[in-house]
Amino acid sequence: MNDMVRLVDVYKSFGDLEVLKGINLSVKPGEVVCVLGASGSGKSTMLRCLNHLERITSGEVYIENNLIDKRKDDKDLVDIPPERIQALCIELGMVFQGFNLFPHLTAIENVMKAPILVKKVSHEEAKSKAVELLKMVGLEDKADEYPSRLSGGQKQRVAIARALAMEPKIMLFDEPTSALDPELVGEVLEVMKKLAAAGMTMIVVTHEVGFAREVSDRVIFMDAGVICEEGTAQEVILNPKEERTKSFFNKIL
Amino acid sequence: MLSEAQIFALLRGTGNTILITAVAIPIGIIFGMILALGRISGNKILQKLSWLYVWFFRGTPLLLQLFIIHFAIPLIALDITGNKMPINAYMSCFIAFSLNSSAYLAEFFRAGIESIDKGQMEASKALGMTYNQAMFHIIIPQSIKRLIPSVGNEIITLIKDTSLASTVAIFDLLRTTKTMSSSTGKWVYYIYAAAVYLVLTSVIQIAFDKTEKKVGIYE
Repeated sequence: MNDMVRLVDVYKSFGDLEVLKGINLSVKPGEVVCVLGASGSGKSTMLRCLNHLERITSGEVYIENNLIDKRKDDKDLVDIPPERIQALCIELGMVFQGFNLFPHLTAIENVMKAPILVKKVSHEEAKSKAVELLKMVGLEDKADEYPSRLSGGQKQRVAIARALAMEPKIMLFDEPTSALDPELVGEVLEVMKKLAAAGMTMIVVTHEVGFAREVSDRVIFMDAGVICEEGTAQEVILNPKEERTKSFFNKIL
Repeated sequence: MLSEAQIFALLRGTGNTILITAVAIPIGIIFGMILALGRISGNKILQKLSWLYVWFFRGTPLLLQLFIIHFAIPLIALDITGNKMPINAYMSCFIAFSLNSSAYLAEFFRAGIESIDKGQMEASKALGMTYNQAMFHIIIPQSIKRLIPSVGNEIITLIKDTSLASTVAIFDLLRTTKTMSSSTGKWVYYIYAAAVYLVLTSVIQIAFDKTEKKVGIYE
């Protein structure tokens, strides 16, 4: 039972709109899980429930077997101190569709900010770590540029470095390439492949079927707020059993 | 032209105008920011208090606020304690103008902070920052560029509004001019007053335009 994250019977509604309808998911260390599905199927919401960006309506959320959320009908069933939630949530690094880089900080300052503020590491230590990470994503020469001067692909690579600077054990990717011009998608996927190869646990919400086939240990297909089908990429993408999965991949492949 | 005494009087009037502005704006900025943060905080009581404050100070004339502080509060104090508690005219002006500016600046600040993309707060949270860390290191620094023009506007408005200080017997620029004009029967003093106001407001305008450009270097 050494799950990195686990969702147990998670429901999430926004007002009258029920977005997640009983999600059960667990991810093992080192596993790369790709989540596919149509827009509005609840993929992103599921990801955002993992690190408290969205509070679940009902269900349980665990990070490394530590309970961080247990709710029923939008009411907390357990009282977890905010410091503990924060301490557990920083085990999860997140990369957003819209990058969300801090525009008033340079690339390297973006990467250094959270370690300095949250982990209280020294400026020098944060800086040397940031240089190393920017090198890893291939952007050491852009360290002193402001985000407005970077391309979408470069921004997203800085965002990945920024998340990695907190030394997370799991990386969550929320449609990391959906806002990119087609010719910039590759450079971001390359970095993600590098991470996967290095053994990072990753949950990737994506529309990149090719990436899912190449990199994922497991593919999850979501539809209308439930996990419709899961298995290896081979099983889910190429030989789906469920009608909804079949019709989805028929349309996009 | 102007006698030495008149020059001295005009300078004193200008000095009072600048003094009131220079006291009210820093207080207005600090208190306005506190009000704005209260208004956007998750705390219902702070939200209500901040809303009530802005509602009152934006919804009533500045002159009335000045009169309440200078004339009504000593009377209220007299009714309650039986003692006369006159309030210094400068103090009344400092308080009234500061409180009034706070309300206007609070609204500007709130709008400026709320205009920052909510993805910024999400990214900060995802990186483990607390609400306050995100606010003070990520959100507010980005909103500053958008706040600079509104602070400039508020200073300009305030410079002009200091003429209300004459109603509590302070010789501000306008009252000084008017006194000169009525005692000499000449209208030229009003030209001087207009010129001084224009110089003051232009300096602010130019300084803030320059600052805005400098601060926006990252865009």
